[in-house]
Amino acid sequence: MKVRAQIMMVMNLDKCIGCHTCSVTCKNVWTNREGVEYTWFNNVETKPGIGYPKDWENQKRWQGGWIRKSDGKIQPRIGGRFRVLAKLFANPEMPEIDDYYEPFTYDYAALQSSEDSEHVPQAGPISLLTGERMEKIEWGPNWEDDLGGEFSKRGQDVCFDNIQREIHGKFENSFMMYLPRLCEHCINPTCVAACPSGSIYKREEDGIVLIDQDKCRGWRMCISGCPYKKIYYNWKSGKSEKCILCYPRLEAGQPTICSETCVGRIRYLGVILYDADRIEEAASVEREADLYDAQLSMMLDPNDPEVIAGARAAGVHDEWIQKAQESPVYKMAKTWRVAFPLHPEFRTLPMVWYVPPLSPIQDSAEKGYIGFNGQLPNLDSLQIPVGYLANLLTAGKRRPVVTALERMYAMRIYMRDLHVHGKQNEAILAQVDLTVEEVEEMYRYFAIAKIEDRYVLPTRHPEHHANAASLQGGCGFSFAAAPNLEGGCGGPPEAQPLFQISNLGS
Amino acid sequence: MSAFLHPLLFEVYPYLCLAIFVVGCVLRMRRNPYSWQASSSQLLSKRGFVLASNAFHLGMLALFGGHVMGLAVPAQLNHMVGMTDAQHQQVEILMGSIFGTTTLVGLAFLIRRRLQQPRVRSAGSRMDLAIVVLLAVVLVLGMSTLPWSFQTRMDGRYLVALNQWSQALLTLQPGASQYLLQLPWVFKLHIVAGLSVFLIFPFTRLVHVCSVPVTYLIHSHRQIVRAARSYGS
Repeated sequence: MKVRAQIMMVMNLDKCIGCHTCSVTCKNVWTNREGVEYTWFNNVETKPGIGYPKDWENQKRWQGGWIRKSDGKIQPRIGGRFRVLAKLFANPEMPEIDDYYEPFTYDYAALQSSEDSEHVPQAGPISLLTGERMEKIEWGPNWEDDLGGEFSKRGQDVCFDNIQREIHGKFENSFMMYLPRLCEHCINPTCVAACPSGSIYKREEDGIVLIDQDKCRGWRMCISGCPYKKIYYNWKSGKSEKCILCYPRLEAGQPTICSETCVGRIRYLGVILYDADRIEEAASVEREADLYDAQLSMMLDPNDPEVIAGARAAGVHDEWIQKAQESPVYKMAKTWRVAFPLHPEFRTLPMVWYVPPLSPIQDSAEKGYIGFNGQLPNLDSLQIPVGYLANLLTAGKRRPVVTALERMYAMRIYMRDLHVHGKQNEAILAQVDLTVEEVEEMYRYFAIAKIEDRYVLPTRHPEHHANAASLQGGCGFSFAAAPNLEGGCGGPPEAQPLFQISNLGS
Repeated sequence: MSAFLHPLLFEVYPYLCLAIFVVGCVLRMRRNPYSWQASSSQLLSKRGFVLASNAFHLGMLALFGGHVMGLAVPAQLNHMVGMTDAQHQQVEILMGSIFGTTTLVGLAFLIRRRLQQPRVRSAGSRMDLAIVVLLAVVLVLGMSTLPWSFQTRMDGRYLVALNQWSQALLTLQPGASQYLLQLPWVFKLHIVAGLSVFLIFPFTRLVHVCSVPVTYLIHSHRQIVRAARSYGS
């Protein structure tokens, strides 16, 4: 057993209101620069929909993630080493800018400077790529927001596979949910395996996956490798960039920007301990539907004395072990089994998990439109089909999703009975196999959702990992390799003009 | 050509170019590794790019390999393995025509794309354009030498002269330029233009050639984990 710690995120989709605050604050902090205007480290998609970039979940088209070969070993779907190198000059599996969208601004100056005229002046769209006026905006990062566009396009969503797609195009059967997405900081990342320069790495102490910008040569294989399409090519700097899980904030014990600013309070951050010896085994189980269970079984019980000893032996700081024991995400994933990975069939062992959304059916159920299963509404008649959620979260396995939804419903019904009718409905808890203590704790985390329960984060301990004195006076988050002679952190002053000739702007 | 200019171009200039190439690359890698990249513009426009870029790159690699074989390998070595200068010349003509054409087709498309595709045009720098144009000039000059080479296909005269010149340069013998006195002007222009590529190499996106990721072939396809210990030390 090789114990490693990882920061994990869980999002409670039941409470996501699709306000895009996470995306906007993330953009303001990390990607409001030239070359990454089209880039959203965090974006919110309306499902069903083909998403951003278009059709990202369809790996037959984009070749992301891993495949299991006939000998039981896994390899990146884009190919083995030779095939990856053969795509160096031109990568046929890489999305084009139009698969994301052409970034634009508006000609606001026209509103001020136009001459007197009969009609109101217009601020037309201007391309941020060419600086020229655009005829028409054709696509955007949230083009399908709140079911925008016709079903014939949205319905191409691969999560409809094996369920009756057309039925859900009818108005009375339509449904929608929001899906906020960011880098999954996978335990078995394909981007890392696909990077020819070896510039992408996973940090040992917190599992954050980063691109070493000094080592990235812009070969673009990570963009194809990542099945979530969460690595973006900066067309100005010629480097790939991705979500950094706000590591400068995490290191100080603060939640990521997307979590901190989430209005719906749907995000949870915490520490997970997992067994790094079992990565390959868990990622290469034969049946895709077993991948969720395999990943779950890698997560270690932080209260087990053996695990604690293993963690200490592996150099995990005591504060991290303590936070792992208090981790809200561990409870959701492992204790209550209500959180699931996004598309485990990509075999990357993703570490941003989701609590599936309930459909607002209580009222309909009570009026008799929907059948009951004991005290719980019959989940087969949910507006959001269970099969769809299972395709999204468990590679098609329905049972875990049904159990999670039933537990969330039971929690609601139990607490409603307690607060409104003043009775303890223990029968419903028995039906979903939860205790009173468990359901009250779930209620505290999901409904009350205080900030101290949502983000249980240790700080980084540089004094534990390295000679902290060597960091004194160093440059924190900057492009410079070392402080320059003047003591600033802008890089050696004469180095900049000499090699600014490439297409790096000032 | 004047007695002054000739040695300058074919004895001093090669060393100058090589020195700037090496020192420039080392300095750039050490001072500003962030600027070291291939600067791909594939994201902005993919139409026809896969074919053209592959044609250009593969052709270019083959041409480079051919030049290394012709210039860096001593002619005596070829004789030892039983290849006469005439055979060598014929092989060079054949390979040069095939891969020169391949490269030229790819390059022509890439230049057109860089000029006409508004997204690529505005994202790229003037240097990006300059370098492809220079490569095109070198390539066209190189292919213009083919008729002369063809004339001498039975004795490989120019091939031998060029080989002697490069051998003299590589072994640091003085007076290397004397071997090129009888060379037609097209060859000379090709050499000067070709050397200039090395001169500006460190200041362009061409540096990505130096970081061809051959080590990827022996990479493990597993996690790369960077331990916290490696920071700040």
